[in-house]
Amino acid sequence: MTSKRNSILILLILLLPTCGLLAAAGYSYQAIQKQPSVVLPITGYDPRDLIRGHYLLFQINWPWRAKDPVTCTTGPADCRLCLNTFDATQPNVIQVALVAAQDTAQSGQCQAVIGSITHYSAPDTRTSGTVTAPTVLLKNTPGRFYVDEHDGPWLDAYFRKHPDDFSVAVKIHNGTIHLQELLIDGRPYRITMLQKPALAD
Amino acid sequence: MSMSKKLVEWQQANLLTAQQVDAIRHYEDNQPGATAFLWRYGLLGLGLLTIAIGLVAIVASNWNGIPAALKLGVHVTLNLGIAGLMYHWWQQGRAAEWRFEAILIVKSVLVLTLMALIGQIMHTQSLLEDTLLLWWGLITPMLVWLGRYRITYLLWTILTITVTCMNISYDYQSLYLFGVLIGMVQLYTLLPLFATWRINKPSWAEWGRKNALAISIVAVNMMLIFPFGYLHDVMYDTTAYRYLHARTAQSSTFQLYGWEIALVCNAVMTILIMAFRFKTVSPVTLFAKSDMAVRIVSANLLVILILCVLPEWFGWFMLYWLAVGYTGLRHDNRRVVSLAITALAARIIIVYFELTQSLMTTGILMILSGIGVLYMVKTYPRWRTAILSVTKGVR
Repeated sequence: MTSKRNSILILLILLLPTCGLLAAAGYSYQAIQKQPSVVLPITGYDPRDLIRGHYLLFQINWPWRAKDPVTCTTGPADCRLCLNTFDATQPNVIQVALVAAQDTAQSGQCQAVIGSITHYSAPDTRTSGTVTAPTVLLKNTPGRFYVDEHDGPWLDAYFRKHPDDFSVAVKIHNGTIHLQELLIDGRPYRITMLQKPALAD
Repeated sequence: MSMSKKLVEWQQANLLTAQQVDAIRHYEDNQPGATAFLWRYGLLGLGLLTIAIGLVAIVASNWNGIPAALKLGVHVTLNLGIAGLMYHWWQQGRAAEWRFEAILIVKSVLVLTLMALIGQIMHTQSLLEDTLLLWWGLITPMLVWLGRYRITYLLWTILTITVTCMNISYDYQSLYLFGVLIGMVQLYTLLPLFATWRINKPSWAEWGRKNALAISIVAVNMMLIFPFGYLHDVMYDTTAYRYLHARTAQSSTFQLYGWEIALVCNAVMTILIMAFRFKTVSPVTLFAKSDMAVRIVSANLLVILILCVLPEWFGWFMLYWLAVGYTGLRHDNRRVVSLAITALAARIIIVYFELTQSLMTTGILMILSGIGVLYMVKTYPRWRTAILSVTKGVR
């Protein structure tokens, strides 16, 4: 009996890593896929990093709402990023604004809320009247997307010519951003590559 | 005194002929459990692993062309297949064999690579800290329940400490140093205790007498390298990131001070490690008669092997291991030669990734290197003689 129990225990222990991981990933995947997709522009990337894989490295170019009513006065942990279509005249344009963490009423109106801000700096108006955009750093800012090593040079060349065409489709779950696809002109980059292979030349 | 030295003595005293010495060595080296036997298999394993990584690199260079379901299916099947093989071996009573232990570690690593694959395909990425914590949770029952060898528990303990440090320092973002210090204390306490408890249950007194010092040295070395390496990276990345992208130092003042403190600590500790290492891992101690010296050397060699991943250490690393390998050749110590080749080969493999900038080229180079390692294993006596002839070191 003990031997049989031991056998079952060993079998469970050996299956736990694979089955447990698949279950956790499946659960997480389902939860993420239920969320709506949001497109955010990106800027600046380095498509090659062989040690860590062929990842495209980028930063999100947050589309800030023109007038930001809230600033993080008590620290970044007290703020959230609210993604919404703030401008009624542009119902398809997603913009970002800050909301106070405790302001659940305002957060409830957002299409998506991103938490875990680790750093926030207010717009800088000191330098010759030019207003720079506020900057935020998140605990888990998505900053890399896998690309095939054959695609890297094309993307690199294309980006130099058309830096404003790039964006990413993301889903936001539990306040965290999950990257879904790299887009060029709003379409998956591979489609653009197939349709316009000579664009980067 | 080692059997190799005894044989030389006996040959010089005309008690044995050169042919008899060779025959004895050949017989002893091929006994399962013999050191030379294990090291030769270790080197064979390295050669085969290099070829396997080369093949993987070639597959990776065409990664997007492979359907996602196929990638996941193959990886999951491999994981389950290894689990099935381990269960089969366990039922046959082979759980104490080194092969079982090796496959246990391989299985643990495969779980991590499966996590990376799932994250890439299903876009379920999360924080590195959370990913490592999940990995730790998934493999800990397997490692603790089925592990029999010291190295397994050493690796598990290092992982435990690293995961703990990462999670604590992450929660206390401005207090990275605090998190690392906690991890250091844990490592100091946990490792020797755990190793003692797990490995030497039947003979506590003997363990304490023979191994405590060596294990403590391993613990100290590991403690210094991993937390400080992590600390250094985190501090540097965080500070640089804030300066470059957020263009402000306002809220990162503490982190800057923390980073500077960490840097100084790191430098001091590195100097101490180096001083300690040069003192203990010298050609003299490599061939010392004391059993304890050998254990101390082994502990340090393990640390240096781990350090091989640091790019800034490349030159010293290569020179050091070339020297160690040559000393091994001079003394006809196949164990040391094999260790040196293993270390050099492992480091060169990393160079391929750094230099070639192409997975396809890396893959081809690695396959050729693997074949080279296998050839060196096969032809050890010949190239040993050739090298010693060139350096006029034939005794």
